[in-house]
Amino acid sequence: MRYITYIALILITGIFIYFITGPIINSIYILENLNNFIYILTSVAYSGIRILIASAIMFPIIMLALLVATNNLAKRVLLPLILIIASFPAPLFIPLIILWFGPKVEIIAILVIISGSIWYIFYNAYSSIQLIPEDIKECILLSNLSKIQKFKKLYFPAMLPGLVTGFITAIGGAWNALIVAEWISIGNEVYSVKYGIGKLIDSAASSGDLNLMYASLIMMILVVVALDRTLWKKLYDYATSKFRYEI
Amino acid sequence: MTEIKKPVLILKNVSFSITSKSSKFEIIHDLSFEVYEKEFLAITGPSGCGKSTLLRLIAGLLKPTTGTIFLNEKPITGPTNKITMVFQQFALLPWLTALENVELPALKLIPDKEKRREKAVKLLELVGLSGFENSYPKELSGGMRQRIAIARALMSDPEILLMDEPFSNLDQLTASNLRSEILSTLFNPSLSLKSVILVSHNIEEIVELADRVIILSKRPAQLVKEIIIDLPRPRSIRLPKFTSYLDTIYEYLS
Repeated sequence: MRYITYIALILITGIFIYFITGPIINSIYILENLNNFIYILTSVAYSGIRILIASAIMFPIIMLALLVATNNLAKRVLLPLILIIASFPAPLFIPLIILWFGPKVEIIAILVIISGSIWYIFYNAYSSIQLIPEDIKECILLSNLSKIQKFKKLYFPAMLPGLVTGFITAIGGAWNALIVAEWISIGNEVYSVKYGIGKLIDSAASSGDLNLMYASLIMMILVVVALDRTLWKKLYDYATSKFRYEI
Repeated sequence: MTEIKKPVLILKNVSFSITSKSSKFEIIHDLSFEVYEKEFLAITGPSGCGKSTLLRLIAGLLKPTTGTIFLNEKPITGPTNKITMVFQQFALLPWLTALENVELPALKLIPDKEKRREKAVKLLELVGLSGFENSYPKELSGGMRQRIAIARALMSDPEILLMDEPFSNLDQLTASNLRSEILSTLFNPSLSLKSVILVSHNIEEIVELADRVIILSKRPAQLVKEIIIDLPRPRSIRLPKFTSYLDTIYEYLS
């Protein structure tokens, strides 16, 4: 019985290695060519900039989170509404966006990224405010602060851990959303950005150029992991240690 | 401390209830009492009797269902910087330093940054925390954190200080050290503080600190008994009179 398990394990690992080494080796052949390498890296950079712009546009959603978390009327009216909108999958918005903004591919790409990831930021910011201990809220009420002072001293710092988690999740999701955002085919029309890793993967896949697709995927994975290990981990450690309530 | 009795705070027929869809819970029923100048008043009662709710009514965080609370003959309609509070769990903001926490209630009150800082430094000195201005709460012990909270509560020149079980989250030794200093700290002539209201279920603490104690009943809280504790300070638990006060309060509580 035990041997069967071992044999199965070895077989599965073997098959896995067989399937993964091929794409990796082929990818290396592709990435070896400097022109290809620069082309793929440029695509990643363009996509990164789109995500950055989307993040900047998404940031003010924290004000909505603050309103919903602190105002009972807003909570009763807006929260169910937000719940419904958030449950729409991002590609559903594409025809609407084209209808409103015309076939401007850059705007479509950024709006699709936003529609796919903005709610992660909203919910994390919202729940951070819900987590503020009751006595701290009372103490702030007794301190008679202005709205701006309350935001600076209480709400924004209280939201920070949630914001970091929210942005990590949102940006992680955004890398995936690129695949739908940067290369859209509706009927016979194809809306595509000029450079973008999502576009590259999509067009390579649809034209059957699997090696280019693997190479692009590997490059994207490397960039995402590198960002996660350096920037995000540091930010996360900072936010969760300094902004944690002690009891 | 019983020369001319001048009430600072007056509670007149105060009731408080919570109404939900199906039922009405009365938490405080027709409570009237006064708090005098230079008085340390303690409030006690069975757990869950509404002592903390009573403090929140006085602080203006909650509004009485019926009845009125007067501060210097004016009704309290909401939070005011003349009434501040010290909490059981300290309620310090973890991302602010000791000094920044103390400054918090004066951000609007004292717009001048220099003056505000100067006052916060003085108050930290008063509670014995000189040198810890730039420490964060999590770097400090429980007793030190509660001292920060006391300094913060004094920052807006309050007339009344409310204390909600302020020593119950501290270890025995720390609590007794802080208790032994608290009277001289709070009734320091440089402060504007007129009276202190302490909510506690620790009878020894009450007899050690209070000039008068109000004992409340089970929910809905009603006044059971008022006892004036007439003992010279500093008070020692070894004195027979101390123990007889303990017994009397205990009797009314049970």
